[in-house]
Formats: sequence, C-alpha cells, structure tokens
Amino acid sequence: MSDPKQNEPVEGPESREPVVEMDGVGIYFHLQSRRRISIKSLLLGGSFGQERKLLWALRDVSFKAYEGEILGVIGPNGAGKSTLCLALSEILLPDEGSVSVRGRVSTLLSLGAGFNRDLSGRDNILLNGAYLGMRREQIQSRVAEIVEFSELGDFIDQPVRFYSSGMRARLAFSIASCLEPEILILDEVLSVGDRAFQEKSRRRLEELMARSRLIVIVSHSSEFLRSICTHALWLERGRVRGYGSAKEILDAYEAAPPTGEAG
Amino acid sequence: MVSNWSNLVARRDLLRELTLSELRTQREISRFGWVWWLVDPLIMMLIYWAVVVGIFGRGGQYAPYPVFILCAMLPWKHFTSSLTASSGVLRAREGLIKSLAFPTMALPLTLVFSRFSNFLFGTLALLAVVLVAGMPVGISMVQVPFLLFAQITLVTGLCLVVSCLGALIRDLHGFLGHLTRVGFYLSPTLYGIDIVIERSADLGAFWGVWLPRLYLLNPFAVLITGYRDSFFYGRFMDPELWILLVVQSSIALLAGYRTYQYFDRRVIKFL
Repeated sequence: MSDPKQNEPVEGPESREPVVEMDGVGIYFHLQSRRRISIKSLLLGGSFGQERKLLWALRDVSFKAYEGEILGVIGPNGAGKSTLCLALSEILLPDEGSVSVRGRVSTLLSLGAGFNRDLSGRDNILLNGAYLGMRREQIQSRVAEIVEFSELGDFIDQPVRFYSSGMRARLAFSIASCLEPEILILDEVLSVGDRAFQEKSRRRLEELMARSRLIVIVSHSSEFLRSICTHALWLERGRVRGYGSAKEILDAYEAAPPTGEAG
Repeated sequence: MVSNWSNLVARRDLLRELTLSELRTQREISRFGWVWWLVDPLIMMLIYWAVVVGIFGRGGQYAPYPVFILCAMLPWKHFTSSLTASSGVLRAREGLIKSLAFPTMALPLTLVFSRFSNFLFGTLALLAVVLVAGMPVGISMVQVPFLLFAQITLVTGLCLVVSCLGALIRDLHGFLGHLTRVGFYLSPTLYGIDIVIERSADLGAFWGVWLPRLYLLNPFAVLITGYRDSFFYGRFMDPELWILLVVQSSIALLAGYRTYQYFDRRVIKFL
C-alpha cells in the first residue's frame, strides 16, 4: 500500500479525493506453487531452483473511485475480479504498483469462512465479529439483534456443526451485516436462505449500501450491475479493458464477443 | 492486512477471541480438556520413572525423580504441541486467510497462548506433586513468573518461524516429529546439566569448558534448569543463565516476528 500522504492534493472546499485508488497494480501467482518445496527436494536437489512460471492475475490496473459511487466489476472467469477484491481488502498486497484506500473497508467475500464448527452459534458471533474487525463491546451489544435476525432461535446455542448450510449462511449474513463499513466490497450477489430471508437480507444489504461511502460489487451479471451501479470496471485477463460510467462500459461489455476463459 | 505490531494491537480483540475459542473448542470436545493435555507428560513421567529408577536403578541423585522430570516435561510439552500445531495452522485456515482481512500472525500466536493456559494448569499440577512429595516450597518460586514469560516469548518466536515454513514446505510436519524427539534427548529432560558439566570435564580441559557452553546454546537447557531450580532444588538460578535466557528468548521472538513479516505477503500465494 502506498503512503496516503503521497500525491495528496490540497484540500479544497469541495475536495474530490478518491476514496479508492489503484495505480499500476499487478499481482502474480506462481503456477508451480501448488508443488510446494519439500524437505526431500531441499536435501536431494529435485525441483528446487527450477524456473517458475508467473501468472499475472492483475496487471497495470489503474482506476480511481470517488465517494458516493457504486462500482461494478465485470469480466469473464479468470479476469482477475476476485483478485481485485482481495487487493482492495488488503488480503493480498500488490506485487507492482500501489493500492490506496481511504476509509474502513468491509468485505463480504465468502460468508461463514470464520466459523469454528465446534463452537456454538453464539460463540461464533463473537469470533466472527472479531475477524471482521469489530470491537468486543460493539459486537456484544448486537448479539440479541443478530440472533433475532438470523431466525435461529434455540439453535444459536448449538454447535455450528449441526447447522444446515442455510442456517450457517443466515447466521454469517446476520453477523456481517452488522458492520459499519465506509467502503463495502461484495463478491457476487449474496443470496441467502429461503425467499422470505432473501427479501429480508436484500433490504438489509440496501441499508448497508446506503450507509457506505463507496461500494464495489463484483458480478458476472451485467444486468444486475446495470440496475445499481454508477460506474463499471471491465477486466479481462487481468487487465483493464474499460472503465467509466456503468452504462457505457456495460453496453460495450454486452456488445463484445464472448472471450475464452483465461483462468 | 499486514501482520505488524500496530495491526495486532488494533485487533487485540481478535487475539482474545481466537484464544478463547481455542479453549472453548477444547472444552467442547471434552469437559476437562486441559486434563487430557496433562495426561501425556504425566504418562511420560511415570514411564521414565519406572525405566530409569525401577529398572536401571539410576536417578538417585535426582530423587524424587518424578518431580525432577516433570519440571522438564511440562515446558517441553507446551513447546512441542505448539510447534506441531503451528506447522499446519496457515494451511488449515487457508479459506479464512483468503477471505477475511486480518493480521494472520494472530493464528500461530493464539495457538501458543491457548496451549500456554493448559501449561499453567500443568504447573499447578507440578506444584501439587511437589507438595505431595513433601518438598519445601520457598522463595525460589518468585522466579517462576519470569520463567513463564521467557518461555512464552521463546515458544512464540519459534512457532512464528515454523508456521511460515510449514506453509512453504509440505512435509515439514513429519520432519518436526523427528526433530523434536532428538531435541528431547539433547535437552536436560531425563538428566540435569550438572551431569553434562561433569562428563565434559572428563574429556579434558578444552571440552570441559566448551561442551557445556555449546550445550547451553539450547534455550530449553536453560529454561528447564530454571524450573528445576525453582521447584526441585529451591534455589535461585545462576545469574549468568538468567542473562543467557533473556538473550535467547528475545532473539527467538525477534527472529520469529521478522521471519513472519518477511513471509507474510508471500505465504498466501503458496497456500
């Protein structure tokens, strides 16, 4: 991450400082990293020292997003959309270029990743709140609300191991939606639980989005993005193919011939 | 999120929740999880007591021998159980690391902390054994909190290194088993450092000086000696050894912290 003071413009009466800025961001993965080094290969030579192939999941990605925008990220599989989310959430750090984020980022990437299956739902509320960066008092004051919203009833004191996948998702969503994000990052649209809960969670998400200063949503569906986004970023094979107003970019995306999957 | 000191302080609630949930998980699996944790060192204590004293008729200078070896078994168990768990922790929590932004150093740290609380129950058990054996409990006990602090510093440092290596090297887990076994016999677990000094002196003037020094490079040699001086001999540890222990555990923690920071952003790509 770059120094936020760097390149900071002088604050004007109506300063248009980008909330999120990527400048020439590149992130690569080692294609052979699946074959990790082993003690045996260290001792016997083996594949150690062999040239490894790099796969650039993102390359030369630059854009600025401002307060109040809803940025849709679109592109085929393997375009680097998820990697972009990981970079914005500071889960992955860029190998090239810089990412600068001014504000508290909350990510709803995969629900329930932080669950400990042996613990009760109640204990998991505290644990997941902590993973998401909430203070203990903050999450504790909302436990009752989370339990109620998740509609788990007495199950809340049972180990999460005994939950159905729908119950787990409902609990995870209820916890995550208690966040007070400034910058909200969503990977794909969250559709959780039965229809009644889906309706409820959609409303909750809308509230959350209304409170956020900037929203980044990743999706395959240009139709969905068109309905809510102000801006769009089109990624293809790790590079920016287009960036601008949602209508313009999504029109171009739909008009383009489908490309082969890169990933 | 980078695993540095300020992020860890900012996420101190996560450190606490993770440690607590480790302990809750253990309690969930069995009501007296820490008792199970203790069973291993206690069984080892009984086995070595039976073999060394009962069969070979040795260990007379270390009577009561069970207390003598338990002083070593408990910190050693904390070390090995934390180390083995650390070697796999980043891979085991891959999904978590790739979907939530938090300083991942919290994972190995809380492993060490939760096992340390088991170890604290262990020291109470040791104290009980000391009292049952009718040994005096005196002023030398004031050393114990400092030994505990040195131990957690040391084990934390080593586990931070191993957690990174474990993510990069796929067969580290099995290798560690052999390494800690060798370490067990190289540390003064079944014998005391007095024997090392005695036997080295038999080898001549040069080895008499250098072999014990070499031996004490192992921080567990110093740590175990400290616990024995406190619980077994009821005396204060040699000030030189105290200095050595402080230096060793500080180096271990610093090295662990630095190693983790170096690998922090690289490790995620190897998972």
